[in-house]
Amino acid sequence: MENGDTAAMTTEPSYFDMGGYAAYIWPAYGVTFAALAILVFWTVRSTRAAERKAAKLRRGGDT
Amino acid sequence: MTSDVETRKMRTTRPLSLANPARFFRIANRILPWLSLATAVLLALGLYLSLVASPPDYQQSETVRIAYIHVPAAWMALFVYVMMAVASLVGLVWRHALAMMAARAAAPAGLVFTALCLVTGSLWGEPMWGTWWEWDARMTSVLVLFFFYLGYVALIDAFDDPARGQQSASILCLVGAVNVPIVKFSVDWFDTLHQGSTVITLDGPKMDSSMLAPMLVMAMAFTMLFFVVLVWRMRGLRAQARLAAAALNAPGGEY
Repeated sequence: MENGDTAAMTTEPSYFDMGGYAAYIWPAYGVTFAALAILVFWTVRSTRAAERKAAKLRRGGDT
Repeated sequence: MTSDVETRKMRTTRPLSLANPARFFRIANRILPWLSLATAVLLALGLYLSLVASPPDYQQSETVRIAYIHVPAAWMALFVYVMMAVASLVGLVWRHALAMMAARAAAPAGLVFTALCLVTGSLWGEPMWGTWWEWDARMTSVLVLFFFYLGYVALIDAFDDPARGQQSASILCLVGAVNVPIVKFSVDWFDTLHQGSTVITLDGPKMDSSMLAPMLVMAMAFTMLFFVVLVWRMRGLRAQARLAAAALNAPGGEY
């Protein structure tokens, strides 16, 4: 740090910089949690749809 | 009314009675809320340990944090495949419909974990090794595992007769099981860019506990998440089976 340096030239790296590896670490965590969230939501959604249909069938289809 | 002889015969030819699936789903539905809670808690704790409460590596700096999702994803990829193979074997040999259903229910999750293992591995490999990919024994065998998962999912729906699809997929799953020890021991048997085993070794883990903790917690979180997805998907498959059976006995056709 020298005389005349502004704060913009010598900002401390933030936590989110991850030692300079932010471009690798955050996408890794991001894609993981996105994929797992989609897996869970898709699974729950398709099961609920099928169960709803099956229940309706049972109610309406009694002979 | 069936005679005693006939009833006994029914019991031996269908040793796993229809009561089993009902009991399974009763128990599964009861523990499902606890599995979901465990998943949420473990994920939160795992994230905290992975991203906040663990130190950077002296060699790999912050990128070691990718290990806390990459390694658990890899473990899950193998664990789910083994589970599917066992279930497929039981399903084929004993004609156990619930086992077949479990294998089918597990497949999407296994596929996702394998894909995540590959993607996070690349994101780790580029800054550390200077390459997104290499055709070494570990990476190639995991890619093969991924294709076996894809093949399984594709075969299920490839036939008009769903039973044939399930059977073909189960056989494919068993064929691919030989790849599992290859994946695990690839780093020992071959000269690989991928590093050797550091956690599951004969001498115990070679990793510091500050790094082992986030890894194990994330592994448990992924496992709980898998069981949640498994139960939900089995319920969905059961409902779909009922719908399909009802379609066969559609109104207008009762005799």
